[in-house]
Amino acid sequence: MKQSTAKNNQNSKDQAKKMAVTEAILFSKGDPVEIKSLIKFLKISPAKFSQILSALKEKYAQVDSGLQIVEKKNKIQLVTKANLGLLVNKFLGQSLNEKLSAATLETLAIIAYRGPITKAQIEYIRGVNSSFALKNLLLKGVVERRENPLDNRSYIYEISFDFLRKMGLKRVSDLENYEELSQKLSEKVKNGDFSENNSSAKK
Amino acid sequence: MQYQVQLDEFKGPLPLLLELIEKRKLDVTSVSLAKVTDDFLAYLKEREEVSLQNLAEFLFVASQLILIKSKVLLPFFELTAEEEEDIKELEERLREYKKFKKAARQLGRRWQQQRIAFCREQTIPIQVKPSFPPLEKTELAKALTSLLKRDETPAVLAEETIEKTISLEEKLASLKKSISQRVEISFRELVKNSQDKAEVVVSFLAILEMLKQRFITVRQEGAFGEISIKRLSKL
Repeated sequence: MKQSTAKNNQNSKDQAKKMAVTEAILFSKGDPVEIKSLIKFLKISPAKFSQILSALKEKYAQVDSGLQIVEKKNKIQLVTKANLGLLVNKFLGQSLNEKLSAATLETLAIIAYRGPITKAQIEYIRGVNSSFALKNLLLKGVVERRENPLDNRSYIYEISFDFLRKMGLKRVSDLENYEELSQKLSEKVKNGDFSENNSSAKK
Repeated sequence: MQYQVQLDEFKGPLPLLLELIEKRKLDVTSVSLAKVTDDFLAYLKEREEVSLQNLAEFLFVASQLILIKSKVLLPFFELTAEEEEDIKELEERLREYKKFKKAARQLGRRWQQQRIAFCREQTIPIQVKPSFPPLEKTELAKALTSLLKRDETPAVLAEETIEKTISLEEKLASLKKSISQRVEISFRELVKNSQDKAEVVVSFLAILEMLKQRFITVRQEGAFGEISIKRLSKL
């Protein structure tokens, strides 16, 4: 009995240390950090790491903490709390979010809920050319693009960590109606190519 | 009935259609599509500046609307399976677009709330760390004396003459000659008889060029060391 409590003590000490190391790395890096590389560095299982991450988040959830963790896919970033945004900004004197046009916001919404997504798929939903809005979003850094692994003639677009930070979101799924809107209506919409699908289905 | 649609930027046929339907407080159904067909066509007629590419999109939607209206007005009017599909698609796309239009508004509000989470400013550290090997004082002294010796002749003030410059090609040819006579030669030896600094510089460029052409290999033992040049191929 005594032995096992000693072991538990050791375990929690170990976990506390790893939590501290994780925090230190996230702080010093500033940028998003890959979870995989943290797991590898700490030499722990993914399950153990998510325990550490939850513990960190719990700590930051306290009112007397000004920090939070933002997540996207397999990366995490240590940032300040969104509800302190205006106050922190007052001190830093950085520029606030500039107003976005309706077209830009529409494009951004489609990327946020449906990304990663191609330009053709965005334009299928909007029914209008979206090059300008996309360029604008890329410039603002709230959207990033990479080559489409399925078709190297096109790019796929998705939201960036800066999007989450500027929107005050911890993760993209915290968006309103994310469950409903992220669901692709049908394969047709996803492919953004009706006519061919239809004709081939009929044959 | 006149419809004034405020355009802040170009609006495609889908947003226009949705706007017309919402103005009448209708849901997206084929019946409501039939009802706004005239409004849509009237809008198209009024706006003559719609560009050709956009016009095609508008006309495509317009043709579908007319089809839908025909179907509603003439119950016995049969649509082909493909036409039915197309109409269903238009409805689906409109409903889809409607959702995102709403989401965009919410996103815009959130954006304006300025609930910004700041991260640490990453200043990219530029590491300027020249790696000097440990140097003996005597070596520095040696380097200095040789430098002083080289510049023994007092500097003559500019005597407005245009000196013949040695071209890289000339130097290349002469260096190739001197290297071909020996297998290995040091850079110091090579530039021993140089007239001026310019010639040393040109010699060095010539060495780089030959290195690029794989005529020679070059070795230098440590910083400030002697550069030895070795012939690689028959020149």
